[in-house]
Amino acid sequence: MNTVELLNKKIEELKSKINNASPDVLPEQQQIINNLLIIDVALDALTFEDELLSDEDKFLNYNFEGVISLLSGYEEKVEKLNKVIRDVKTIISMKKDGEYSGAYSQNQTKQLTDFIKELQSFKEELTEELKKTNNNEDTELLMLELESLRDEMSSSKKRKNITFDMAEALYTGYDILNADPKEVEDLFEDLYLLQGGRVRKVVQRADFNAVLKLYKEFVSPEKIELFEGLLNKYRDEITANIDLDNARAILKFFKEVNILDLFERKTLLNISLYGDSEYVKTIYEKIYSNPNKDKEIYFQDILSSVWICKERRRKKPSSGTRRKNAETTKIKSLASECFNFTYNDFEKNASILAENIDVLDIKNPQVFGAHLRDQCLSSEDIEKNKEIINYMNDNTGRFRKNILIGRALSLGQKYKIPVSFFKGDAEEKLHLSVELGLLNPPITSEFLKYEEEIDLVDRFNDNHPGENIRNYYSRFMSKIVNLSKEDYDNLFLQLHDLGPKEFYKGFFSSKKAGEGSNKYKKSLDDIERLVANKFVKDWYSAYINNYDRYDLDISDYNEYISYSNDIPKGYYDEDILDDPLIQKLEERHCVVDRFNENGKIKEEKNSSVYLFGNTIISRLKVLKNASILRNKYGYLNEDMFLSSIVRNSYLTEESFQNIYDEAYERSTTL
Amino acid sequence: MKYLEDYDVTEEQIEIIKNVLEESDVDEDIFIYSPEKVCKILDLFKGIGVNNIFNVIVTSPAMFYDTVSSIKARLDSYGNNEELAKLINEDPYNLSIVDLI
Repeated sequence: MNTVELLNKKIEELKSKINNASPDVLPEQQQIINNLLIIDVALDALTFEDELLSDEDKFLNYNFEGVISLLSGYEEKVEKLNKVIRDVKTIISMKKDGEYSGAYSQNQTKQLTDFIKELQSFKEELTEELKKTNNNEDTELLMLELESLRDEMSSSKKRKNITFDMAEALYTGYDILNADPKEVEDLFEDLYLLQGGRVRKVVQRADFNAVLKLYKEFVSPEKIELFEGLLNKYRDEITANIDLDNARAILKFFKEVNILDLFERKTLLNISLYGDSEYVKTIYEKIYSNPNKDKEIYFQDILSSVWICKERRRKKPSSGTRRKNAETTKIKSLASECFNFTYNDFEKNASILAENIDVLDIKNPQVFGAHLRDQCLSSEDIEKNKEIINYMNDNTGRFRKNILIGRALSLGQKYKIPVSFFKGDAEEKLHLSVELGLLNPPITSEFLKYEEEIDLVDRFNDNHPGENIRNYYSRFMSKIVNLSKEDYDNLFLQLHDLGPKEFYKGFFSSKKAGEGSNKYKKSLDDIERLVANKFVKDWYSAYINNYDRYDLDISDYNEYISYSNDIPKGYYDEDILDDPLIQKLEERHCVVDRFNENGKIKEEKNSSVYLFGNTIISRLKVLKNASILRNKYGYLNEDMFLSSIVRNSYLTEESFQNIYDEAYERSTTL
Repeated sequence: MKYLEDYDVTEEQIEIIKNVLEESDVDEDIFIYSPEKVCKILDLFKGIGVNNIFNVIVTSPAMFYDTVSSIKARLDSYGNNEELAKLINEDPYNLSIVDLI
């Protein structure tokens, strides 16, 4: 049976299985679901990346016409799709026959992308129809799964894994429809074979008694009682994922090399559940090949992933939990801590953290090299943000001393940057936090003074009796650095509407940093609308010549830095400070902080902000953006200068107008 | 987590610890399924004279991810157990003196 016949057979099987899946699904819903799944298969066969077909042979050999002709009730659409396919196949054949060479033309590329769009839009139509016919909650859930599947497919990076994702979505769909998961499990294996001849072990629930028996055989008697508790807690996930022979081989190996009893219970469970018996031996050899290495850390709860994760791409074990079981879904899965970083990642993380221990909020780089998993941070993130780390290193003390919350902790403690700050785009967070007044705020009458911060701390103590204030702020600090984009929208709105003092009060007294003041509760929709109404950040291109181009130049440079090994040491070009526009900016808008240190009033230039009225602009942002643009074009004009200042800032029309007026009065005012 | 009562942590305080763990993203399983390790760490503190174990836990819950030997090395680094214990008893934030916060 060739691939096309296999595919058609598989679709027939799919249809048949779904048709028989549940009596609760209406016949018209079954038809729609069938068609959705057929489109999934067709999209799966179409690998299209970087505006080119990645495998033309695969495209040619897939029976798209056959797949689409299985759809019923959409003749017009089918005809249109078939025409696109025929055109594309002709192009590919011409290329193969030497009648055409080189890359696809724009038109050809468009036809290919149109094909995918057609399929995706067809899926959307079908999904909408399914919504209309929906009359029970279960079908709604199935529809959500199918939507999620469609979203997965829209990401070209994930398309290679689509069969797995599809199978998983189907599994959930079957589960919801109360069908026998065993049928789906068989289907998984078939789909995997069809995808590329790869054999994947299918999910089959192990007998829990056999699981208990296995661990009783290896775990010491004094530890077994709590171990059984652990097994019971994660029973669903364990029985869905464990390979008893593999687990036994791992436990046996650990026993042979006398390290079995060194593992914390959960680590041992994780490794025997998700580890590979051969890979575990490799890691053991790596750890034990160095007699000077401190080995204790590798047995701790947080290091499971080192023994398990072979590559950065995370695989997706079954959670083993049913969608309907709300209680079990609350439990964080064991898998969530098993595939986050490899042995090499960990070693690299620990070494990078050790290099930056003076500036980062870490104690034991080894522990925090592993702890990064909770922050979803990788050594790549640290590398990506190396510029900022370097900047902070070069400005020792400045950031630590002037973090607002750091000062609230007061009493001479040292303040370091939480590692989680470097999750995602630390640079943008740095600038937004500065502009929000959370990092290095100007100490002027318009903003909170040191004494007022202490007053806030005292007030907090009254409101939260029994809680250690400093501990609270420590944890709060790490929440700040995890603020999302939506959180910043909300917080800038609050700063705008409530004013600095009320905003900070609300910010400090809220439990979740992103919520800010409890006097200001808005829905996400409202926040989006209000941000659009009150700030002009989306309209800079309408006012500044070539803004979009400069914006892209800065993005491109940052992107380049992210993936380049040749990362500049400085945060910005020192030479930029000699530019006349920047010099004027420095003269007019830099701030001198006056603050109380050990009973004495001190004055110090604030290196992080420019102040335009009450509006804070991140000085680092401006200097870096201006450096990028001047280096690219060889000069800095008013448009570039203004773009450097306002980029990504939440400015009201009035603030923007003030900055705009100043920028374009270069020779006179500025 | 009842074993914490052996360290003069009350039932009510255990509930507070659970909340603190949840908020600080420290895995509660460490306290539930690795009691031997938690006890070894707490014994280090008791051993030098720290008597407010509850404050130590809620002030630095992430510390329990670390290894026992690493924590011991940090406590020893101060060079005067009695004085260190006094400082931690006065204010658990003084754990930062030996880099345990």
